[in-house]
Amino acid sequence: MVNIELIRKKISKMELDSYVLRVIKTETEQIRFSNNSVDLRNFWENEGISIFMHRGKKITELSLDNDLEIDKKIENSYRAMLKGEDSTSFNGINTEKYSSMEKIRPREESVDLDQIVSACIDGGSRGGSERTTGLAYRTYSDDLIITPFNEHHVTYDDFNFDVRAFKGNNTGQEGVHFSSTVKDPIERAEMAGEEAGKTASLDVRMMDFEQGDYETLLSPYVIGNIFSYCSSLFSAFSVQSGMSYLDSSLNEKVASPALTLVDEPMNESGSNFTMFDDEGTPCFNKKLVDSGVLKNFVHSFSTAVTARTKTTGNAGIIAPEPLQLSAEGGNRSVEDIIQSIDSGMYIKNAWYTRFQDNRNAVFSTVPRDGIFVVERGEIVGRITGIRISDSFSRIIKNISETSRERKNVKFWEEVFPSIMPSALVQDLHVTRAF
Amino acid sequence: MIEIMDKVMEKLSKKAKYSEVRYMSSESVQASMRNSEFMGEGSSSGEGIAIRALNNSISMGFISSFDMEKLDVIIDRVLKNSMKTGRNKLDTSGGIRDKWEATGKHRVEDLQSSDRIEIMKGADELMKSHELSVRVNYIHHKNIREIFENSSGSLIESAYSRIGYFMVGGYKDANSFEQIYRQFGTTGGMESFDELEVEQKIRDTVGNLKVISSSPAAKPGKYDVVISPEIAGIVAHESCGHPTEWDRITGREGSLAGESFLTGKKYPFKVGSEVVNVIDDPTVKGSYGYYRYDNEGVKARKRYLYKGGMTNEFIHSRESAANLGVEPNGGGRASDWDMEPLARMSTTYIEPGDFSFEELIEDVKNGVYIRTYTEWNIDDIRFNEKYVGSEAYLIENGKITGRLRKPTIETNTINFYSSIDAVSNELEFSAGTCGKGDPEQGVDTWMGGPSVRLRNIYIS
Repeated sequence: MVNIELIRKKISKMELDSYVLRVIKTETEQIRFSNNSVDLRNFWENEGISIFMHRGKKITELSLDNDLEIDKKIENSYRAMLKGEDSTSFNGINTEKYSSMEKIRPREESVDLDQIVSACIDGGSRGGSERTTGLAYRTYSDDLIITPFNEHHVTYDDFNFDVRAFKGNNTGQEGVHFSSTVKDPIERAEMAGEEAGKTASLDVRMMDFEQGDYETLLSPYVIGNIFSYCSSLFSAFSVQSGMSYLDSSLNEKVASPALTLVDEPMNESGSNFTMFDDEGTPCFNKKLVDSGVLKNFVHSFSTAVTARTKTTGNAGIIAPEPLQLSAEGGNRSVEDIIQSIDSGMYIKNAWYTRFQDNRNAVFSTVPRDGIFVVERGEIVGRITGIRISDSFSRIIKNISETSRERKNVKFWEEVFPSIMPSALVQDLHVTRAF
Repeated sequence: MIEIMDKVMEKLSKKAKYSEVRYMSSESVQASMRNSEFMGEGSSSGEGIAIRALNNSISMGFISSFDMEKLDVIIDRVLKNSMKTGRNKLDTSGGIRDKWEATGKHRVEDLQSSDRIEIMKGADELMKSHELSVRVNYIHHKNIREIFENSSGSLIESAYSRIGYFMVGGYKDANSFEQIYRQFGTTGGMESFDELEVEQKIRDTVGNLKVISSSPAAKPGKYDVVISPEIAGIVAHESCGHPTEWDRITGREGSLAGESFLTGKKYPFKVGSEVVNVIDDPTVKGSYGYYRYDNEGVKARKRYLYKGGMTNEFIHSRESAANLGVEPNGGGRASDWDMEPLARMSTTYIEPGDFSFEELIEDVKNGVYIRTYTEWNIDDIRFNEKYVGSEAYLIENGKITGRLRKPTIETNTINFYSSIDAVSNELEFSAGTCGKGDPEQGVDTWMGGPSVRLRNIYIS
């Protein structure tokens, strides 16, 4: 076990203006499965140590997987920092003192990950899947942060799983994340499997498709994917780097009134529930876009000083990021929204989002796991081989409504843990391969 | 370390049909610069042990402590999990005792902060001289040490260094923003990094952005298209390397990056014209994906993935090879000590042919030459793909006559490879970080090829 007091003493004696010592112990188990059978069971035990140090404008960060020879490594890092150049845009870490947080959540011991996997597979079969593939995670982490000004200690206990159902060439996919405050993980696994199975097995004909602009309902995974990839537009680091088109739009209308986007780290149902950021500032929920108006960028202490504002508790010390995005839901159900579409599409998942212009967020992303044609309020067919080729600014301006239902969505590295509704987008530009 | 590993192996061997212990340490340094401002340096020192046991199923455990009591807990857990039901095919070959090293003459640990800053400053100044308002430069290097031991008698030790460089540039005027990304990487000492000629390649690239921003778009329609080694590389990686990873074909990655258009096909399967040969070769010296043994202790070798327009060989880990009933071919890679080995690419490239670049161009009446790219993506079976050109030109009557802005190829893998009628005698590589698995593992790769001519491709 890492001797935290010895490390603290060591760092405290050094000629530093401040430091951040963080020790995160994690125990993670994972099961990977494909075609209804388990491929592999994994188990990790790790004790990661990170030490950020600064003296004036000189900064360094040291990351370690254990404390072997830690004194020597800290000294080497410190000496290298002193020899290095100034980090001219760095303005220090947060010196404000907050009440110390201590939240030790009892570990939920009753859940067997093998049961979750069985539930995913059984749910998939019940939904009509011929074969089901996916993985399930259980992570227990113990997170301690110490700065000269603050000390917090929190434990987290999270689940997430991906389940993809196959029927012939058709697929459906669900990915879910939640903390142990949610008491029905096995039921959720069954429901996710069943939903994926239903998407894969929906009995509609394959249809031709012309590229163009379509009224399109994007599922929580698709809208979550777009917000995940574009989340850095709301980071003060991107703004200060010249890589966000939103840079001069604070308090201006940037999206449809139907969009309210919140950074919601204090939503305890999600696996990215976070109580303090990377410099010990307590996290809080904040609206990034309120009814279409840009209200906030996310800041660390350092970027906030540059922008002459206050930290939003989103460090990354150098590059702050939103921690757990959430979009507000609307009044109608997904079913009602589909019934209102005269001619359009319903896309249930997307991946491989890449940009030709990161500043203006011009990108394409590849739909998968259910791409449906909607005519006169009904799903009448499937299509394949399409691509959403559009821009973030156009899409958020063209959201006409969001669904009442929201989901805790996470999909691989494509959708960060977030809480999203479905979103109806007008004139979404869709292309296809020739 | 070997002594600790031997103790772990002894305990595993008593209760497992087959077992492995893999130690890996990585000492790395990263530094970055944004718009002429030094952003700081960081270092990391990671190490740990991965153990794998085969009984009724396959199980792995990962731990960063070498305390025997803690290791015993992991060993027990891995063995217990391996007794549960699940797939249980795993190649168990061994008997290899070897050592290899690729740390070079000018070792990366001798680099000073000032050396890293000097490299980044040179790039930044170049970008600034071409009026780029966004200039991000990032350099990182790592020293890796690995020891692999298995119950079949293998003991392989390795030490190697990797150096990577990444830049982003952006030119902004009143109406548009043009960006360029470049990644460079090598395995070995600083002398192999010098051979990459990073500064020259950045110089060659950044001057184009301003010109591109005012260039006309291509008139949509069918053209003969010549692509550069850079585009050939990303195509080889995305639409040959990934779909020939056998674990994808069998569905093990199905909920993540997906399966393969080759799933369920009879092999060899025709993918393109007879001139198409695509290779994956971990033994290309100096390459970013260089290794002599993979992370499962299997000897690395060159593999023809597509040969004469047909599928030829698949990329295998020990697990995927056992599932197909073949010998593993050195494709089992894990990006760190705490990652499972998966079937992965290393240096993937289209094999050069006999044509000169000039010969490719002179036989095109109405065409497009794409030298660099920006946005790209491909679907989860690696069939429907898109490449957006950055530096690109119009070809008329065998001559390059002018610039084009963002000509876009949106096609499928069979159509792409079937449209190739000639490949040049050049061979160039670029670096990439390939993602796969969950937790996602980014592994260092090269990709490349010659210039390639395609007939009758739709450009939008």
